[in-house]
Amino acid sequence: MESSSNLTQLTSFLEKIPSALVLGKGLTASIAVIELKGKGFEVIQLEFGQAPGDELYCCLPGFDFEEYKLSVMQSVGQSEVYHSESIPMIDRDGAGFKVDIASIRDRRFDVLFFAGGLANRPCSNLDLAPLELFGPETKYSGESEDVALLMDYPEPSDSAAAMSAIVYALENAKNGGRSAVILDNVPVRHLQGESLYDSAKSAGVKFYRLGQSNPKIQDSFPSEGGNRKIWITLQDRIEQGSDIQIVCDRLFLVTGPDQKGIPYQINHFLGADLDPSGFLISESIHSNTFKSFSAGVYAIGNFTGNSDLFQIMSQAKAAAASARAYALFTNTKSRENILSISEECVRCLTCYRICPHMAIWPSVSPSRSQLNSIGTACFECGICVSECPRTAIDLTHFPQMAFSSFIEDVKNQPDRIVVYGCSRSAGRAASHISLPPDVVFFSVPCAGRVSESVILETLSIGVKGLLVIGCHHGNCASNNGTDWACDRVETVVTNFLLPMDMQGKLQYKTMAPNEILKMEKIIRQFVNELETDPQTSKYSSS
Amino acid sequence: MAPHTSKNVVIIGSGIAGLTTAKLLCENGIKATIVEKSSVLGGHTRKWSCKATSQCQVCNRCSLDDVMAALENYGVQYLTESELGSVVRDSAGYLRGVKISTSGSEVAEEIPSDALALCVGFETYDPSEKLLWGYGALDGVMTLADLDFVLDQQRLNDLGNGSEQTKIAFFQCVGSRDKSVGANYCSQYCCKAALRSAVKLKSEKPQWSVAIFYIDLQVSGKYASSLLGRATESGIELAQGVPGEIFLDENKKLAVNIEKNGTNAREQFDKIILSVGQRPSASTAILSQITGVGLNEHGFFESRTIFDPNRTCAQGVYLAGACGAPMDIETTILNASAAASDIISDLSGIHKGA
Ligand SMILES: Cc1cc2nc3c(=O)[nH]c(=O)nc-3n(C[C@H](O)[C@H](O)[C@H](O)COP(=O)(O)OP(=O)(O)OC[C@H]3O[C@@H](n4cnc5c(N)ncnc54)[C@H](O)[C@@H]3O)c2cc1C
Ligand code: SF4
Ligand code: SF4
Ligand code: SF4
Ligand code: SF4
Repeated sequence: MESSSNLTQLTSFLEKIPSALVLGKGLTASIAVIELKGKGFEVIQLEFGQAPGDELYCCLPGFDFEEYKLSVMQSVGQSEVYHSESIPMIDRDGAGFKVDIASIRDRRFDVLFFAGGLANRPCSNLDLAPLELFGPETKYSGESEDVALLMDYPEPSDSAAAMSAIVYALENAKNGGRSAVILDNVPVRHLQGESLYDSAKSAGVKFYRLGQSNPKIQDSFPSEGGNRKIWITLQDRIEQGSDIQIVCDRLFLVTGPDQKGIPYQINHFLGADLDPSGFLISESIHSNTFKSFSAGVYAIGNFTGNSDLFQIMSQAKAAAASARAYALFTNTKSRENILSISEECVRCLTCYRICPHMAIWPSVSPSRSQLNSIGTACFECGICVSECPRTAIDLTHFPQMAFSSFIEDVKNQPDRIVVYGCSRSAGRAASHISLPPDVVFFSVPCAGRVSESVILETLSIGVKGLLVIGCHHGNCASNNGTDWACDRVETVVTNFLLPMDMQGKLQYKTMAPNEILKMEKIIRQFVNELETDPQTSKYSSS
Repeated sequence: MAPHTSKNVVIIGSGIAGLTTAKLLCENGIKATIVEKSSVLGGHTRKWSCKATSQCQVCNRCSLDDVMAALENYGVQYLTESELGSVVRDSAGYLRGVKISTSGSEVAEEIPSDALALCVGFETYDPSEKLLWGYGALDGVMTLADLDFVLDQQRLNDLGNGSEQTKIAFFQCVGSRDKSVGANYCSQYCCKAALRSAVKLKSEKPQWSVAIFYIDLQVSGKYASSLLGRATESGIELAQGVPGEIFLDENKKLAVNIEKNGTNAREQFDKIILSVGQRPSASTAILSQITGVGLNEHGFFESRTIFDPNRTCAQGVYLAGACGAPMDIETTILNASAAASDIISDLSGIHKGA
């Protein structure tokens, strides 16, 4: 049949069956396993920690999570699953990984998936209040009740959780119950969001917007017989006026995944690869919500700050396809000689610590430790080269020699203004602009490759000015290459270029690949400043 | 890198959705042909500006450049000024190829195709449709797209009135969440885009006053705290409720009536920026007829089921990006990657699929 011949066609060029280690339990991990298996991966799942599973929400009225879970479990089929108290030691093995668990110690995995779950954030402000956290398993009982759902308090709720809570309010209202939703902003995600809000309003769900003052929550226990009641006093931001009082039987608090639950051991693989809120994976556009800076590492689900079932299904698919490409690339391409480490190496581990892509890994043998460069994981950014104290490490396609011969070239052309620009941003834009006559542009793999010694060497030949251009902070393809460049320019300016008249000569600027006019402006301004009055123009970093 | 299989996927539309789909397919050893109606690649995203201040604001505009750079490593075939003419199926109904008509040539070219990805994107709402906004009639009323052009051209000063007291307002949900214009949905990108633009304006011109009038700010998730934090720190006024009408006052200045504490107050602005919504592309109707993929009540392509957002009811036909539902670039990249993932699974036959 047609599909089986396709199967052999597509998998035959993978020299061996790719393998994946999925860390995590719950629905997210299962969805990841299904998608990876669908791409031909051999998958091992490793459940770790005590925490229950994950918290995922689906905002469709009438959606039955239990039924859905069952269907997922059926699709997972037979699966190899291991358990561990905490995240075990995981080491690089070439471009892949090895894990320190007795039964699978000898296996090698091409990719690592973090698909762990997180509990919802508790509320610090409302410890006394008789409230329940709204979770995915919070199911409407079918009996009409007086219920209040508090969201965006004190920080914005997860939109998928919030929309599920509105579904709860809607179902209760349809059954004759009274539902009050107290929030900052009504979540209207997906095409269905607005109509969900509409139906909730027309079914009689009351929406209140949090005002300046915090809502007051009191709990009254019945003297005898009657029900316990919760009293909420609040101000509505839109209908300003007197206080509003809501009396209900149940009060739910809607929050979102709690990043504090992310195990600290993960830092070992991901370094600083966290977003500003502390979830996995930097906000860099290079991560596109599923791919880490660390080559071969993927994260999906609660760990990435996401609890929307629809989005997590897409994350799993996207990550699986990307993982397949990675396995294909690392298993078929020989890139052994992308990076070389010479005998000069003193094993200080600097390169290992700073490589943003986890492309250098120490291997410890009984005799002595050794540094391994993993060509297939290397992005050729040159950050390691720029920091190695022994100049022991070098890139094949952009060797140290490239700088030396460039500088040698410029030496013979007096009064030149040198611009070192990251190939991703400035390098791409440079081909679209015409540079002023005395400016020489030199494209470097990453601004982070421009070391202090390169800066000093360039200045020492008597250039009129030196401008280093990197990508905007937070948008570096190598995570922090542009920040390295910024720091080094600053260090050279403060430590080596003390005379005032030299300060304007060395500057650092940032841009995006699409900012062609901005690049023109940056260079024009730099040239103008050099030409007008170097005494007054100050070093600037932006 | 040479493709590893003889499989070819035809992608209609070269926006961030089409290009991302192509990238992931190529990385997985599958050939891609991109068919683009206009003469340039990149779709809407190409027109937007970078919003970085002293740091990147993660607008994702530049991911387009990254995807295009990555695609340079593969032999993707680009057919610009071209459109889908028809699909070719074998007797069993399987997709075998497509016919592409290129402007200027008489005959449609047949291209073998194992899958077809619809990535034709969206259209921006035209606010001149609703006279009360004054777009096109009143000087100083512009759209978020117009603002992006000004920012991209590094002509920020054009927005000012020459004095320090320049006042700028953003109006959210223009042509979205509005049954009266036939769009009962949220466009998903515009709250974040307006907030980033406002932060950018404030960082360049701290003296200007910038206000955002909104219904509900849709910035939840992991971005919410950092983006809202930046907005409040930079002194942007966030006001709930969008004024319904823009007019010229007696000084010939843009003015609106704003309800504050139950009373009506009039406020003047130098520029009012309308955050226009996403509408289904006009292409969806024609492509629906050619391919058999249905349209939903809003006019976007309909997926096979709500849990299978990238497959369609037509065998071999997939959809990705804003032609299936309004979405921002980040979500589009995710969505298009998932579409490529489905295509890879289905072509390899491991997964039960189309
Ligand atoms: C004013 C504005 C500002 C925005 N700013 C941001 C932002 O800062 N950040 C963000 O994340 N998102 C932003 N967005 C949203 C973003 O533009 C979309 O998420 C993105 O463009 C969707 O990509 P797409 O590829 O699906 O569609 P499109 O970009 O629309 O691309 C579709 C492509 O298909 C082509 N096409 C159409 N019909 C046919 C046909 N019949 N045959 C062949 N080709 C065809 C089109 O010419 C186009 O090239 C903004 C949107 C607007 C309106
Ligand atoms: S930084 Fe240089 S000396 Fe230190 S471990 Fe790496 S290669 Fe060896
Ligand atoms: S060049 Fe960059 S990616 Fe490669 S090993 Fe060095 S630091 Fe890591
Ligand atoms: S993501 Fe947006 S703000 Fe950040 S650098 Fe790219 S274009 Fe600029
Ligand atoms: S994203 Fe914001 S402005 Fe855009 S339609 Fe939704 S609520 Fe309105």
